[in-house]
Amino acid sequence: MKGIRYSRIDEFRWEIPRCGGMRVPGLVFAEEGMLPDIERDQSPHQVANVAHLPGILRYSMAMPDIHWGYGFPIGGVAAMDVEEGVISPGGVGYDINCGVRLATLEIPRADVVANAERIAAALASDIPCGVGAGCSLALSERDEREVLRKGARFLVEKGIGDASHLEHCEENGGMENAEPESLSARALERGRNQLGSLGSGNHFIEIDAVSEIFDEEVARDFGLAIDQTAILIHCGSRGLGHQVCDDFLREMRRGFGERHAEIPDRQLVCAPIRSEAGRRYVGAMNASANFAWANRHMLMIRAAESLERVFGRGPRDVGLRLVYDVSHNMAKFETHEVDGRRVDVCVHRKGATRAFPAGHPSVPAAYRATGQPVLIPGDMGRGSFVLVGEEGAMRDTFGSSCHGAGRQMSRGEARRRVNVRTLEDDLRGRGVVVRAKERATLGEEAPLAYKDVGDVVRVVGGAGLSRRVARLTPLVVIKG
Amino acid sequence: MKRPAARRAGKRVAVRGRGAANRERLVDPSRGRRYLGRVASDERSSGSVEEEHPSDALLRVFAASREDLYTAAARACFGLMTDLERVLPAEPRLVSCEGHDAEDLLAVWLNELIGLSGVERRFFSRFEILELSDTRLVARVSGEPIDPARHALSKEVKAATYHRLSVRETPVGWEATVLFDL
Repeated sequence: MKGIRYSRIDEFRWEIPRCGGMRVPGLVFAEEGMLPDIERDQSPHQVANVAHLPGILRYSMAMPDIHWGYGFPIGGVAAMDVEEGVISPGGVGYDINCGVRLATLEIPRADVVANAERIAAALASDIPCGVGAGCSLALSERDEREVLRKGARFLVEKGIGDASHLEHCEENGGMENAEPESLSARALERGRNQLGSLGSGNHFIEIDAVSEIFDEEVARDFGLAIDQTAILIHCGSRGLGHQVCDDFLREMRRGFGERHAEIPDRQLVCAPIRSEAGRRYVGAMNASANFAWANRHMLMIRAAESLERVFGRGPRDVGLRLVYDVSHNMAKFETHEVDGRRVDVCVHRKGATRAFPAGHPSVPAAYRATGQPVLIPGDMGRGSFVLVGEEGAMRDTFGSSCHGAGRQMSRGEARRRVNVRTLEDDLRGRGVVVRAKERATLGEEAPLAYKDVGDVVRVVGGAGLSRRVARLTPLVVIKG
Repeated sequence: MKRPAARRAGKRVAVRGRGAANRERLVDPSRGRRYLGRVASDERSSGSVEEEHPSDALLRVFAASREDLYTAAARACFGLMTDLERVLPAEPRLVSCEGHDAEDLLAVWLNELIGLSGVERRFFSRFEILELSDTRLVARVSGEPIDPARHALSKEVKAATYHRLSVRETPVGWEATVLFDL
């Protein structure tokens, strides 16, 4: 880490000692072999920058999928004391409650493989994706406010999906304390025509198959079996969330004043959690999170309807069953043990996933004896992982784990190095059919642009934050 | 700016500029990412160079004047989303925004355009700065509704971030650095 000293704690932990205005040390979860990649960019400096934020407790942390972000590193975790600490919109990100949803299907793997091209075509035409796409469900002003208040529950009450889709979702698909009135007119306007749309970049909808089981018992509890097919969705709160982040960064910059001097990056602008600006941001962030859960819910339902049409079967035969839905860009109010006492904290997870273990009251009843499913999308070649939260996460990372593979190559370099046709042929040879709204940008998302997600989950497993349950292999991939 | 006498072996990076969308140019690695090519013969030199960043778009924007810098940054932003050559500069409208300083104003201006584009599902391709101070900008912006049949749809830009944001005067003009979240 150029210009940053760090010392080895153990095989999976590297500490960045306190220096300058850092209030706590930094802590990076990684294997030694990953360090050269991490050192290449600015992310270790960003870990140190986050350590300057008022009220931060114990460590400014980074998960093994760490890479250079804006403000916080991607993979960053920071818990702030609720009474003395700050909340930072940049520590949540523009895509508020970007997250991952996994739902299993009863369609046999062989049927998906045999019809992969048709499925890809149907999903690509039915799911609004890419720049300027429409939405799956246009909202009136009144309905939009209900979405912001209730999250996915609004759709279930309208007969879109059922109650089981809420029970198996982080926060039951909706945050309490959501304040639609804290959103600007522009943010509301941007959301109205984007519910049930995918966006672009690294967002996707996949049809996967379970290709490997690492823990039979937990997999059974999660409803996962070898060759089981599933829908995997990665998406967030769309333009509504982006606007909320921008609006509050601007608002907090106005009130930032002298604190600016001690914070090394303007993107880390923040407000005390107990301030009026902080309180309003939390209400707006929660409302945006609810929009994101409704968005992923809508995308899941649309995808299932597409499959019904492709196979000429009804909902029962498609057999949609939500396994779980996680948020990986969010700040959450939780109680954790710090130095032997229970403390109310605000945990910023910027590209990091909650990973609560068995017995935690916030884990849905169906998984309380097992632990929370932790969904880790990889790249479209090497597939994704389902993990389960472990006690070590509560002890060391405020109940957090990694969120994905993490990029290791810029989009530009990936574009220059990847021939899209060769990539498509190569993936087809491995049994993966890919569709992208803009073919030319497919190269940016090629497997070589990402770290090996297997390495990332090995580290969080070794560190005791979450352990492997199953591997998912993509069969059909739709990129925005 | 003149092209170097001999085109030294340099690293290829994407360069976007007026009348030269998405071309690739040579830059001299021994001098960092300095732009060596001319962007367009019919305009004052302005454009942008994409620097290496693992997930987002880190752009260095340059122009002869401060007004042109704000125009070039807007073109660079929409150049990430589409091929601007195919976007008709129609239906002009006025946009005004305010910031704390020149850098803040740049982020506010770009995010205003990104937000407007999201609401109206419209690409903008022409930006005329009518009034500019360190803290206030008024511009006429023109574009047209997004039409997948005619417009290349590259990627969404979520926002212009404040990380690494800078605006500075150079011996030959003005330069800005902006990291766009994709």
